[in-house]
Amino acid sequence: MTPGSEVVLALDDVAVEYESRGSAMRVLPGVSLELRRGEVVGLVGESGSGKSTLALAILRLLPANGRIVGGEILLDGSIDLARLGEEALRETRGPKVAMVFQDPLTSLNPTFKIGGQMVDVQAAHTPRRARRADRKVFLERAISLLGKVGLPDPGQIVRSYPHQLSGGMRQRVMIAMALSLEPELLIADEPTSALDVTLEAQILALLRSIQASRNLTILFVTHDLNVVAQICDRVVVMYAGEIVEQGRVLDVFEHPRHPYTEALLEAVPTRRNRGRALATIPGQVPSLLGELRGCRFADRCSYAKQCCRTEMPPVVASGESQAVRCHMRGPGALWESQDAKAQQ
Amino acid sequence: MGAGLSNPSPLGPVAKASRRARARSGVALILRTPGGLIGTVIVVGLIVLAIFGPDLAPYTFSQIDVNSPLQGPTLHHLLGTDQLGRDLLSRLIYGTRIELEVAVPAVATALGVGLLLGLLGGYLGGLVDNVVVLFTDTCQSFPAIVLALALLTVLGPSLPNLIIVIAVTFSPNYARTSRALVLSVKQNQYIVAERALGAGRLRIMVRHVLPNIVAPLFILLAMDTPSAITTEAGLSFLGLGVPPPEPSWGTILSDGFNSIFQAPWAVLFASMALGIATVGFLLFGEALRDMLDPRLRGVTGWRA
Amino acid sequence: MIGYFVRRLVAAVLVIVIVMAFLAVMDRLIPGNPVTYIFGPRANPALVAQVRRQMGLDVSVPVQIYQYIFGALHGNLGVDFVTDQPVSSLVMENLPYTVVLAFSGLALAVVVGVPLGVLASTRPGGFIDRVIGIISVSVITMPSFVLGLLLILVFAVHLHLLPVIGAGAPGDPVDDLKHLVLPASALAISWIGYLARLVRSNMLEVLTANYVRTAHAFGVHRSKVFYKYALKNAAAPVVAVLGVGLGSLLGGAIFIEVIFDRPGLGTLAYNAISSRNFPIIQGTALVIAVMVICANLLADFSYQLLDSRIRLGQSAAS
Repeated sequence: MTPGSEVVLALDDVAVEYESRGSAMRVLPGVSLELRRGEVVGLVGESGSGKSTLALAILRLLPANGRIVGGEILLDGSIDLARLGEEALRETRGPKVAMVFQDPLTSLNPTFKIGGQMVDVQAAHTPRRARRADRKVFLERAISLLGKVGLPDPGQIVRSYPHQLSGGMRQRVMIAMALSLEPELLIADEPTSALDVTLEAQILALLRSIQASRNLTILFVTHDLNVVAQICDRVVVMYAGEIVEQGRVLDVFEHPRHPYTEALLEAVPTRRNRGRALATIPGQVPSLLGELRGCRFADRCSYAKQCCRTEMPPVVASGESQAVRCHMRGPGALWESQDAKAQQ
Repeated sequence: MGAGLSNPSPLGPVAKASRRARARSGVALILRTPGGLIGTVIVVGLIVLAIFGPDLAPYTFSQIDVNSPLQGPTLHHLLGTDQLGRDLLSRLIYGTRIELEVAVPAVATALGVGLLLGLLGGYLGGLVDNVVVLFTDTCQSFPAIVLALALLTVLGPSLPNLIIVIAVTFSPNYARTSRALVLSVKQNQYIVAERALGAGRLRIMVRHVLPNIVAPLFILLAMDTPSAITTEAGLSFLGLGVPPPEPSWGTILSDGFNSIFQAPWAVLFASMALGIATVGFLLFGEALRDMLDPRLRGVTGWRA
Repeated sequence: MIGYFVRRLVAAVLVIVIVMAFLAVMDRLIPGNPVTYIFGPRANPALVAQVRRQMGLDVSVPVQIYQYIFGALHGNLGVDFVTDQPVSSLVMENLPYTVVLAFSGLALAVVVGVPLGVLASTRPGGFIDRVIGIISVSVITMPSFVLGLLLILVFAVHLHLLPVIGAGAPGDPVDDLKHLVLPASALAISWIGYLARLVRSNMLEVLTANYVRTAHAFGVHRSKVFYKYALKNAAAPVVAVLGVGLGSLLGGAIFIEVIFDRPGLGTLAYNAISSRNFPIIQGTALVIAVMVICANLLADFSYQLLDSRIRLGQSAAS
């Protein structure tokens, strides 16, 4: 299904800080992003880029020392998740926006059976105390959902504990749990990072089919560009807390506009660069303590000029669908590179 | 996140040099926290008191004044007197020396014996290990007091016997802990590598295993000293400790207990002495532990 | 799993046997001539010989051990030196009092300590948490007999509120309870501090766990997450601690009985000490050791039961 034009989630200048021993680290200085209905958007970045922080911030699931210090998170155009009250937020988590986490082993309670956990999740969103009859209904729904996510013998699974299942099965359970409340937005925080390639392919296929049948909007956080290629419509590239580029997957992969995206793509081993040393990006992600001036990628950028270090680059539209934050692009840019460093 | 916190990770040979540098800053760190500061002050204070106190005390511990028994604090007797008119302050000060005289050698011996047993059992494994484990299990089946009681009944109370008995009751804990530490260090790659390079077992034990397990044991030492002190006080209270008129804090408590309805001072001040000593060592031990493994320092809650 | 239980059981039995052997030959540790040590150098030779036989010193070590174990398994723990009463009946007479005291202390510690720990974990760093923290730290370190003395000082000497002598008039359970309050509290107080701290830190660790985050992520009510999900996981280590606790409680009970002048194994042993009445000490130590071993076994088993799923889960991850 092609994505609609209705905006499901709009992040406007969202800023997040982590507090550590008295000093505050501004992990996200101000991120803006839009998700349209039915889109699968990949949020890509290396460790420390802030992608998980962004994902967690949407539902305000940050750890105790993390705080949203600015911006708006608008759901369906009207509900600001960043400022929502406790109870209203609780009601949103699950029925409107659901989340799937990276490590299903530690994300499921080890001392409760799967069935109980799934029933509890549904019961949490019924207005009156779930009576025994209701719990039966919930259990049946759970069993049917577990079947839909491709698990054999769901009746047995609801009676099992998380550690009795394999990694792939556990992740399917989490997905089933997320679907049980019929959300309109699914946030997946590296759901396949803990799985091997075969399982990953299966889970991605599952997500694709779920997305198609329910017109689900998905925000897919990952560090793996291959995954993005397989499942996402649009991709958002993050570096050191900033979105440096975003656009349709095909466009970005074929014509990356930001030096970082370029470097990332270059570093992916493909048939074409087989036999050669793998390209790496020299340097390290800058420390986020204190103020950062200029483009955060400047120190590692092979195109960097003086202005890159002193002025924050603006976001400019580029190509058909892309937006990029770089001094090198856009009108009046220092150079217009169509395919200056195109993939060879 | 929220994952289990285990022992401090053992250091390879290269990291040892920087460890010394870290130790120096660590000492400063202990003094920075309020707990660490208080603990260090108390511990140092007790040691100073034990060494120099008796010479500075206003009276000797056996100076009897028949005319003023069971008095409360006065100018002459800052903490009052006991039932024989002996100055409580002086007796408590002298008692500090007795407590440390018993507790420190006892715990040190326990550490030595336990460390040896744990090292042998953990590293050599097999039959030796089984014997060590059996020994520790047996000793730990008795509450420390009961074992001490039984041993002191047959051996008779005296200072050296007390040290021996307390050491015996405490060593299983050290044996267990060091054995567990050895087992976890043993699996490290560089140990295996040393074996592959032909290093003898003794050499490995002493040069590689030992330095890495000593740190947690020292923390245990600091934390166990107050236990040894209270054990000694308890035994003295029951009459099995240092024989009178030597004023172990337990003896002072026992005397005070006999006259508790007439004058509460002995019980009160001796209890305070015990309390301060135990709190001091506990705080010191905790600060020591925090210095060695910052991960254990407090847990930040996770907010939804 | 069954294999583990069996192994632990066998190990426990082995330890009991060793304990018995150790106690059997302990009187050989007495320096010099044990009998003259007890009775003095001018003791009647016939008496000396009789006592030597009683103490098992006229036979070799293995035989002595064998005799003792054999006797113990048949309920015969020897006779005491002073009154010639069978030790086993003396011990059995006094055992219930000690058990009641120890369990009351344990129960009190759990009933007060666990909720305090939970309370402290609701708002970490807050005022209540810090107050509970300070109180916990200060009482953990105090040995129970000192606390007992202080309690006597406050409640009996000054306030005249609660009785301090004896175990109460027989047959009057209310009076028994009144007499139990101070001694049980003395035992319990330091454990309350310890449990409160343990529960608090367990709860805080669990509350940062990923599965708690998942529960919140799906909109489960805060209170439900706290009480149902977090508490259950935090409780497991507490059970293990309780097993160990019984050992130290029994040790503390000895003092408490002496201080509060209550009947029980502690008073029995205390009186035996002054008369060097070794068989009583022997029998008391044995019974206490067996209780401690059983309690540890029980605690170990229940912890395994509660926790085996978590353990299995963690190993399945690798």
